[in-house]
Amino acid sequence: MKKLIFLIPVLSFLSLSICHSQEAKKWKKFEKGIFFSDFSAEFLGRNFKEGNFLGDAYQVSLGYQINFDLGVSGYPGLGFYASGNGAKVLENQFLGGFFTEARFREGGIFIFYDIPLGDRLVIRPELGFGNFRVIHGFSPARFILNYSHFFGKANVQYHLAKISEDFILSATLGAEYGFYNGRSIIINDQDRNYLRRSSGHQISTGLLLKIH
Amino acid sequence: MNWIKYYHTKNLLIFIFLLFFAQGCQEFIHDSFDTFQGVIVDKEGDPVSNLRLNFYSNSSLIYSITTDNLGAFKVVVPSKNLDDSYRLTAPSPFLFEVNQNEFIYTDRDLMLDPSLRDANGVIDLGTVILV
Repeated sequence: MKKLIFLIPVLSFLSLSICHSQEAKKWKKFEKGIFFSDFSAEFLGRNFKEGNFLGDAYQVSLGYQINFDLGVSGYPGLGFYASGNGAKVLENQFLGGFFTEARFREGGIFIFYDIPLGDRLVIRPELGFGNFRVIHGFSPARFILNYSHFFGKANVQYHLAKISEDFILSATLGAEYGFYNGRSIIINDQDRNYLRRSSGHQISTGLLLKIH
Repeated sequence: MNWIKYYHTKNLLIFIFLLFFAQGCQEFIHDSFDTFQGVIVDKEGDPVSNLRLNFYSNSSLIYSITTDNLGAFKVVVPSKNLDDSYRLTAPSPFLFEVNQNEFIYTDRDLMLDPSLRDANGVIDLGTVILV
């Protein structure tokens, strides 16, 4: 199922590439100093390093991520994101068997810099941080764990189609590595590091609409 | 126009009240875990190792734990706003020696009070005598 979902943007990219092969000649050269904003929706695969609470206690499902970015071409830009995953709670010695499922929710901010490679390809390195929440159960029996998430990401955009003079549709593929720190979590000394600290990577793919 | 102001203020107060009420009714304390720990010893004061204990929340069994070589045990659960009743049960035929207000008795269940947690959420039961 995961493979199938990740194939969707690839297939879209292939079909749109063929349909718009004639448009390739019309792509403008990269121009510096032009204001742009873009919006993207992506499928998100999240994985934690094992040997800590987040890595050992959850089996994470495929999720989503949406981004909204603002920038001026040739300069660093600012982005905002929100993401979510579902997760199955595995047997562990911390949650008391009170929960079988959890929801991961995250929102944050990042800076990015677009590096154009040719007319259609853009490499976008990102650095950011966000608030990552692990939500167990439903109100009034919710139990939430809060983590800070610091990450670096490399994103590749491939321009698929020029919808109009101002709108460009691209396929995206991104890989991220980040660190999680739950320093607000109260727990005994022996288990503190195991529960508070984690690291992990994410892979995302989807579509991006850029507005000049 | 005063009635509009009154109407808005009233709604705002109701909203704030409901917000606090909803927060107060939350069963769990976010970002917080309680740890019950102690050492099981016999009447002579020697640690009881490899003893299987059952940990209950109300009437539900949530953990089965085993004491280590030093007789120590540790149980971690999410903290709750309303202090839940937890208990530790000794395997038959063992009983816990319970000292309650200088009155000593034996019981198969050791009642645990989460309200005694320290700043790190630790409820240290100290030495627990098994007879």
